[in-house]
Amino acid sequence: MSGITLVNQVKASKFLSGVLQPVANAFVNASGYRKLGLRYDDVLREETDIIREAVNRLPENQGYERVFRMKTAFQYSLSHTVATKETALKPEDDIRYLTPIIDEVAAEFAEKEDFNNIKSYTK
Amino acid sequence: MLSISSARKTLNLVPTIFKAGYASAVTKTSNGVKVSALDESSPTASVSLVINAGARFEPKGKAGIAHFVKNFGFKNNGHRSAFRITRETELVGGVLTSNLGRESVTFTAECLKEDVPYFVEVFGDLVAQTKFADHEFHSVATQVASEYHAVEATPEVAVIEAVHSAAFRNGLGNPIYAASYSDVTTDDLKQFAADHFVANKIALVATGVSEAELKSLADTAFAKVAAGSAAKVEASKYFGGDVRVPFNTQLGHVAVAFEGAAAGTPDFYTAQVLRSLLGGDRFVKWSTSGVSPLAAAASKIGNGAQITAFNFGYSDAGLFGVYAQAENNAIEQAAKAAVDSLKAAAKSVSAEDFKRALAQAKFESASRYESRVSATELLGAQALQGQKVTASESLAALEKVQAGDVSKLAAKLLSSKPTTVVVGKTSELPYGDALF
Repeated sequence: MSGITLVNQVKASKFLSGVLQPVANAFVNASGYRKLGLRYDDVLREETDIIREAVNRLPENQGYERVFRMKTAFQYSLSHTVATKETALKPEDDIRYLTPIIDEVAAEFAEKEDFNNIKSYTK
Repeated sequence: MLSISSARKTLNLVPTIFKAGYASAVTKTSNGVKVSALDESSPTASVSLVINAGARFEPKGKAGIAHFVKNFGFKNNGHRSAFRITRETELVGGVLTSNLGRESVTFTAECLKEDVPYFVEVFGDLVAQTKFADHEFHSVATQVASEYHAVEATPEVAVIEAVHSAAFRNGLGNPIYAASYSDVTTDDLKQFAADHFVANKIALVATGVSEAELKSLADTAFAKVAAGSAAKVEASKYFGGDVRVPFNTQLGHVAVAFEGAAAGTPDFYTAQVLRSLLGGDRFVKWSTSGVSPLAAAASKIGNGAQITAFNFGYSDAGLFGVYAQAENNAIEQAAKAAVDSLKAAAKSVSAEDFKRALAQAKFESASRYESRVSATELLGAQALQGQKVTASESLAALEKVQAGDVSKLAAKLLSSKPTTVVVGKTSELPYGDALF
């Protein structure tokens, strides 16, 4: 996904990551998706061509697991509860399973766009 | 029995062809990719990647995998996406095709001469870095299924497939097209590619390019390909037998085949002459009669009857036979006429007939080097066997054939156990033993 990012610089610097990591953790906790049993890649907006294609390319079992997590979250939401500290998604389980596929699809779409706007030239 | 001893004879014969000067050894790159080119003076060129991984090399339980490999050609690889390959090919005015045979799978690019380096690079990537991605598998599987359904409705293909499966059972008898129940996954394909996409099983064949240029391009493009070892295959054994295939078709189809000779052996050239002698081909469009015995028999029956002779040569075995199609009430007569003309040839061949047959066989043999598709097929099969036979060398081999050899070969064919295939409304079609 696009956008300006300094994540690599922050990760490289001990000082910056030491300061920012707790802030980031607090932000993730506050956003609350883990308390519904979801992963970060589950809450990405699905209504774009890129993500729809990426979800289509998920291996079958990962696709089912994704739907299962969403159903669980939906149940929590219906019953106005959240997971307890023990049953909530653990930070180490918050795997970016969709991001590599999204990057791949985005690169393919960009390539297609480039070719569609190509100017033919003679050698 | 007979089949084993003659297979051994075939193997012994290969070096003698080298000695007789009918073939020369093929050029190889440092890691073992065989390179063969026909440098003709045309503005266009074609390059083919021939991999010795056709239907006969399918592992047990994975029937049809070669068909999937064929349709996975030019898909996403580590260097370029399938989309990029397609668009870039369009931009340089190239045409890409894939072809599957019993012995090899062939990927071909036809292009302008200056673009040959690009396509050789694409072939190198195809071999070394094809991804066999899951999301591509679905579209490939759909394509495979639609190709299977198309040939499923073609009686001519059913005849040839049934002849091979009855004659050889496994190996060369494996069906080319993946049946709809074939059990193939991307993991199987990756394994198959790891086993077979190795330099010693690959030939790079081109027309319109010099061999030296092709070799230097292949040296760089295929540098990363593992050398591996040459294809190891169980020697083909000829079985023979009767097969009856029920098929919804208007005409009846009957094929009678015998154990033939491996491509490039003296017996194979003799069989080529015998094939022309029996004939059955139409040399004038819409003509209803011809001089050859099979054409004469077909025109006597009329009503769209067709009788032809065929001669298939593979690396270690061959099939020779006759194929008749006619209306159900006339098919027995047509098939009998075909077998009878083979029997007549086994008795004697007149000098006049022999002269005509030899001329036709020579023309056919030489003209195979003229068309790009057949020349590529020919050079590819030869290169995988480590040799190169030029048009003039194949003509020289045909020149050696004598009328006596032809009738001797016909008698030898008739002594092997026949393979009889009938395709159509089987209740109305004759049984194999009624034809002799």
